[in-house]
Amino acid sequence: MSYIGILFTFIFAQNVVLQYFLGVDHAQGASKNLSRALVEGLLLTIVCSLSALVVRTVYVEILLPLGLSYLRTLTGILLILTLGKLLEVSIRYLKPILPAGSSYDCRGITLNSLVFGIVLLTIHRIYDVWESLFAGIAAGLGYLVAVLLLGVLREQFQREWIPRSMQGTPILFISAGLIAMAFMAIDSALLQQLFR
Amino acid sequence: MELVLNLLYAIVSIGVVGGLFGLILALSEEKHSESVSPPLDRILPGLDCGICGYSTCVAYSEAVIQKRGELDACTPGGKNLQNTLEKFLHLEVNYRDGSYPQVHCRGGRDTAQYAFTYQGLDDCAALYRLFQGDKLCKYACLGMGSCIRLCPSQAISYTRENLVFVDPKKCTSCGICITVCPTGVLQKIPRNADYFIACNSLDDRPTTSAYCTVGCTGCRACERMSPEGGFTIEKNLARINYRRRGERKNAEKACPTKCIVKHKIE
Repeated sequence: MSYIGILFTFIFAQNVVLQYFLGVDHAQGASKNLSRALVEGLLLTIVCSLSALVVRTVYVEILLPLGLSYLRTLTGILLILTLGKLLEVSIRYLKPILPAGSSYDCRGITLNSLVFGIVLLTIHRIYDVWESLFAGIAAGLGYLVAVLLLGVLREQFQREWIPRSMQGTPILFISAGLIAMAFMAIDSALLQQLFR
Repeated sequence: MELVLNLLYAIVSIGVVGGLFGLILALSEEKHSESVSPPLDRILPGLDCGICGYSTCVAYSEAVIQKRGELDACTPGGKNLQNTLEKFLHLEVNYRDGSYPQVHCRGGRDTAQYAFTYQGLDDCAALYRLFQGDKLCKYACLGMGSCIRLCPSQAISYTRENLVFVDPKKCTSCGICITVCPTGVLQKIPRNADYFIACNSLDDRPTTSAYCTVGCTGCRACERMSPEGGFTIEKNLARINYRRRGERKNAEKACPTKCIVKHKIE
């Protein structure tokens, strides 16, 4: 499968947030401030791509030859947390460049189930090095798409009349479900044909 | 044999990978070890649910401090948390005047008598469920440090004698410690007080003197020695009326159990 195919798969056809429902809680809790949400999404993209790459490499090069594939969950958690921590450290150096505001919260990004999900998907589908890197990037971008959609919806909720019992989280969950159903309409089999 | 070899592979490979990444982390972290976490996140629920619009409770607490707003965003915390946050922000501004809570007890291992040895959860409420604490005195500080852990400004700490002490310079008078203390030993005193009564026992004289060497027995020595100091005895316990500005030094000297304590502000 080509790289563009992978990008399309994980952003639209099998958007990790909306189709696999990984990291839905984080997508809903993402910042209302647009630029902040963008930066958080990009940080998540970095974590996703790096961890998909590293975990895939460790899994294929070390665990599989030794017959230790049952250790993939443990290794994944170990490596993802380390990468998140590294990102947190590097962000302190990058702080002057990033948009103003309080500190970016890397703990939340690292603990996002999306990261672990895409890592497991990468391992499961046996991607090569570049493919796993692209899968990670696509997963992060897919998260960004979901965050933007939900953010627009949230703004709309403040203007619309919503029944009292539905206000806040319930209506957001229902809307997220509807968006997910819309995304399911994209035919992934067709995509795979196109970008073979 | 093969099983042992497999085990060995697993241990070595995970060990090497973990050790390598740990080393990288240790090297990168070396220069930045200071904590940046703001004090407010301790009173937030800590669920990281994201309903407030921030991805974690820490991020939300930072926003609260910076913007001095968005106090009603936390749904799990509810009205209760909103009130606490309001109090905290309000008092952070003008906390220098007014009163603050202090521990009115100096009973420790060598001064107070214990009914039993407590081995369990390090939590005052848990200890209080067992016969209202391990000290014979039922009004005393339990010393498990629930208030220390909850204090958002880290003003409460153990002294050298293992007693709990509130630092008036750090305290913001938010009142969280008062609400968690099961015995009510934390009571407010003025920030500019010169002395305070370090006892909370309402028991009569023989009872108090039997179980504590620093407890107030209600002997009225302070009333007699410093008539202008505003000392009164209510229910076997001395109290100071801080509106009276008379001297209180003689009372401190005369107190047989030394429970009138000088209030230090460095």
